[in-house]
Amino acid sequence: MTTIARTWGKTFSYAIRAVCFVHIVHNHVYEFTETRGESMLPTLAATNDYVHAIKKYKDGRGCQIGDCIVAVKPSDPDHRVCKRITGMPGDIILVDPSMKSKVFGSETVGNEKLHLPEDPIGCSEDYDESFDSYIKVPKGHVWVTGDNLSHSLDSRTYNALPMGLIKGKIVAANDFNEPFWGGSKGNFWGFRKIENIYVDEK
Amino acid sequence: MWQPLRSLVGQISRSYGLKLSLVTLSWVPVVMTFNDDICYIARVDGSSMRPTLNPNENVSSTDWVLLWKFHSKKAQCLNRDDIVLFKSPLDPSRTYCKRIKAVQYDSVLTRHPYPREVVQIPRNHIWVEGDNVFHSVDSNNFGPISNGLVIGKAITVIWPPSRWGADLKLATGRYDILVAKSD
Amino acid sequence: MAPPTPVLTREQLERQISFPSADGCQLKSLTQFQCQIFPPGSGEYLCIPFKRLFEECVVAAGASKNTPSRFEVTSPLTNS
Repeated sequence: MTTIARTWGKTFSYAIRAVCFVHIVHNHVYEFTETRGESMLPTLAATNDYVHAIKKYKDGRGCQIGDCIVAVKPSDPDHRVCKRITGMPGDIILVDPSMKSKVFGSETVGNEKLHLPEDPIGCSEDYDESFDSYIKVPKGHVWVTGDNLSHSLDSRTYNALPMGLIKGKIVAANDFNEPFWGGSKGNFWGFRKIENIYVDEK
Repeated sequence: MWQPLRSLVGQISRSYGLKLSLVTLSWVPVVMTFNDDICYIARVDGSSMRPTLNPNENVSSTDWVLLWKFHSKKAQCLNRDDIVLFKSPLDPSRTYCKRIKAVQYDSVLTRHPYPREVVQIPRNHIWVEGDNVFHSVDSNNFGPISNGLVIGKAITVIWPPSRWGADLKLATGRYDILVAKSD
Repeated sequence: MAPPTPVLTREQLERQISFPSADGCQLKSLTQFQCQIFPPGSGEYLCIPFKRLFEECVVAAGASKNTPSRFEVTSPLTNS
């Protein structure tokens, strides 16, 4: 009887230590986790894409504009979001310059035809307005937008994100839609690095 | 080739001191998890929660509170008049201790320097203010904060002993700031 | 929710903020996308790039606090 109890006790003690160890690593060092949703297309696929997140960048420490981050959703602490930082504290940015550049008109669905904006320059007032609505990113906050600007709930809706909600930076991803070896995105299960996209303009 | 390795392993496993330290080390993540997610003891600095916390002017007395962290980010666990510790929205490396004055969907009457007179608290956000109304950087400066920034709820004062059993609802800051309650 | 942040027009901005002179600045860009299932019902996404431009400037040590080191210069011409 006592030996059984002791075995169970030992198993339990090992299990709790192992679980806590993994939990601490996940919270403070590194996490490999699934992402879902269209908001980060084409960087991350809508399903079955897994990301490698480094937790050193928690609270936005060392994060730069152009980095891909994982953060707690401000309107729902149980959910996390992957977004791109497109504004650092103190930056003056446009709230949503892409708003009126409707690449896909609603009528395209019926016609199965792609409309490109006809003449983007000097058209309606609405259009000009989206290029004349500036915001200054507040201290301790970052501006985040999804890479897929058409389907992303981000700072354009919930305003700047407090850096305290940033959980880590995404440095790489594995796409399990890809074959085990030799897919189009990367050799090993679609492994590729997620780079900073903020670059010099020639 | 394996002989020296095997004897080395044998030596290590026989070495009681090493085993003990490995066992101790293996419990570190458990303690960390407990402190991160369940319960923690935190020091409260500053005068913004006076008279409830740090009631005396002299600097040497600083209150330490028992901080309950488990599930503390959930909206149903954050109630009006609770004292919470949270990451400052203006600087994530700093922690603030304030009282929740309003919860999600409430409407509150703000104070200078908030630019609008009445504000409705969005979903999963709280409005926080210090009890010491005029010495407090709070929601009137930085607006409603996301529940995600909450670190934990102060349950009771545990240090110094003279402050045991201190009433955490001794004073609750500004009165009548709720214009509309969510429930 | 972030602190109350006003949305300003260029005109209002210029009244409040002193922009750094252009010579110390480097033009930077950041490209995101607008993706949609296309052709409809196919399950394939078509992504059109949308580029945003920023001026990144060295702010002199003695400059006013209201001098931003980065400001956006995306215009209707940027993506045409």
